[in-house]
Amino acid sequence: MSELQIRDVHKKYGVLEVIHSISLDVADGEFIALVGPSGCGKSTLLRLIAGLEEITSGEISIGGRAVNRLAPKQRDIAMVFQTYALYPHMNVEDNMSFSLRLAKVGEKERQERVGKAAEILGLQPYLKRYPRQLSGGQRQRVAMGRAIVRDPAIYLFDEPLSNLDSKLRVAMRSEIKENHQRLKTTTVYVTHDQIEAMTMADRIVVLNGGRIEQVGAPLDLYDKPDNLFVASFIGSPAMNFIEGTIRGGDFLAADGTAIPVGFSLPGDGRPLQLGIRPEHLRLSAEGIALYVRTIEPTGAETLIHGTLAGVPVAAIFRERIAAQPGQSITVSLDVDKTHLFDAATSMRI
Amino acid sequence: MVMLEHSGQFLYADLVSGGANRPIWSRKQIEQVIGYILVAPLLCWMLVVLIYPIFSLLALSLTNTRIIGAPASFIAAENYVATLQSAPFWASVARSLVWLLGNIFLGTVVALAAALLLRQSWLLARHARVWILLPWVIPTVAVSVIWQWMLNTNYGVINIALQHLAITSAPLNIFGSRQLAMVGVIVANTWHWFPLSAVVMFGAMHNIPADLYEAAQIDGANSWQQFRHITLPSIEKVLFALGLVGGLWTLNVFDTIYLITRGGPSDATQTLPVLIYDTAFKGQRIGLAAAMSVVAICLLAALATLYARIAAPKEE
Repeated sequence: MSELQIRDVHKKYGVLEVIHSISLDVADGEFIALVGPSGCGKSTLLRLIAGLEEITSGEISIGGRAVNRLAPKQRDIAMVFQTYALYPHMNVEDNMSFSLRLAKVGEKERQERVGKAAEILGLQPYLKRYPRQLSGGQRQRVAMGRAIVRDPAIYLFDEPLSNLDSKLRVAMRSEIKENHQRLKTTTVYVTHDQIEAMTMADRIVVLNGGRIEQVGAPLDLYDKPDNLFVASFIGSPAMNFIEGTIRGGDFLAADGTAIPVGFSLPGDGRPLQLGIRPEHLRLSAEGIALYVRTIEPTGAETLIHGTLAGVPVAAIFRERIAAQPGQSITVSLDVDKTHLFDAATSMRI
Repeated sequence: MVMLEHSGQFLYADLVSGGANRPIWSRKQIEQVIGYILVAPLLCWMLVVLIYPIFSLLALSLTNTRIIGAPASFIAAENYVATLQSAPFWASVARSLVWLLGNIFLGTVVALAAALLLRQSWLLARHARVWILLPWVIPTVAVSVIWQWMLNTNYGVINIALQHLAITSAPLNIFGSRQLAMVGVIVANTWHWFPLSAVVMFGAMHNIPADLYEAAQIDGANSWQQFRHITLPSIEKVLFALGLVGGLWTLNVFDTIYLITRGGPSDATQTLPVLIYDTAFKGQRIGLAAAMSVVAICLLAALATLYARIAAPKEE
């Protein structure tokens, strides 16, 4: 069993607290993604799990064994770095077998394990090459191979795809996912790219300012964000927000536009934020005016940036729209798909 | 350069086109001439300070010149025969090798240790990087006086420390002993020059990405294994260059040895430069000293080539 438990973990650098009381359970074999904006503490949390940084308080356990005071090598983890961190003077084979040589694993077993990992990752033709003779994608695979040969309890990935071009990133994304499905090893994956997180992870942990904002399955976070931060962070283009209040079945925007929502709330009149995803706006003959600023036809859909109820919004339509910048179109909101947040607490209502 | 239509002025374009679209010089030829003009001052300087002295040295080595300016006659290769048959010459070659190996070994170990210490803490590095350079900027004369005092038999602090620590029972006459004098001058010279190597090594270590060490930690490497498998291979090229330049430099050191021991006691520290100096200016046999210098140059070139063949980092 290789479940990961994080209990009330704090991390301080002097007086600066960067991780605030984080608790998280990762099940055996689960793929979990840590996402959040730069500086939210996701890489720090990963380094705390790896043992590259010491926690200030709390407890981290792997497979039921507290590892707080153990050195990284004793934690039974493997890590893939953003820069791959391949040893430049060692060839691919030596890079992959380095940990095994240090652990005094016999040559025959070393060769077997490296050969198996190389076969999984398609690295056999490159075993005698040096890192500088490899492309970005091949280096990334070597870094993964180095982790695989160790057969660890947990894989830790620190933004492993961010140095690759977009096409290679998509290819490597599915490769990592395939490997996880094959190996079924617990994985913690740090990324700032929410598409990566959405497509790869079983669950996503959204971090902000060193705190967990929400933990959940990708589509749960997308469909039911707990708060304004998660709602704005998950989804691309981001969710649109309109300030206003509910009055008699309408959402009354700050500029006076009435948006029919068909329900009322106890204590109507308190300041709210209405959230609507770009794809949940529909073209309609009667509705609210959306003033077009830019129009981006992608073939499959049309992305419009414009102004609705006095606020900038993005809208995605399946239809091809002939409108020009400066013109307006009429749209309605898919009321079932709207989200309401308390403007004071930022929490979902 | 662009073609310019500008009558009445000399233009580069005219030179290329001959003024009436007739090519005089090609662009490549003009660039070559400009290249020669630019390197000419350096070539002249090299001729004056390098080529001329070497030819003078060769010319001198074929004569029986005793004092510069005095009449001398051509004696062909007699000085070379005398040099190659001279026991003191080969003894000084052997001492030079001891001097070289001692300095390279001690200098590398001390510089590497200092560089690793500097790397341990940025605070230490920030302050110590300046202070550590101090021995390097001290004039050689002062270094010699400092080490004559430090290793003095009667009041030298090192002798006192050795006795206090019960390492020796009686004061050591380091510069008076045939066995210890070479050790003494090697220590003094290392102290003088290690800061330069340490700062260069520290710079090379500073460029090693931190995540290599983190990856090694996760792979299970202890501190020694991290040094052995990451630090050393990463600074290999710098160590090689320091070994080559430092080695040639060390073999040519004259001032430190001469100021501390004058090559003694009983020639125990008489390395090649000291022997050549003694032969030229004490023995007043400048022709023979010139021949020794030429042989020394050949030996140095052979040694440098051998070192480059054996120790050059492999190009992967």
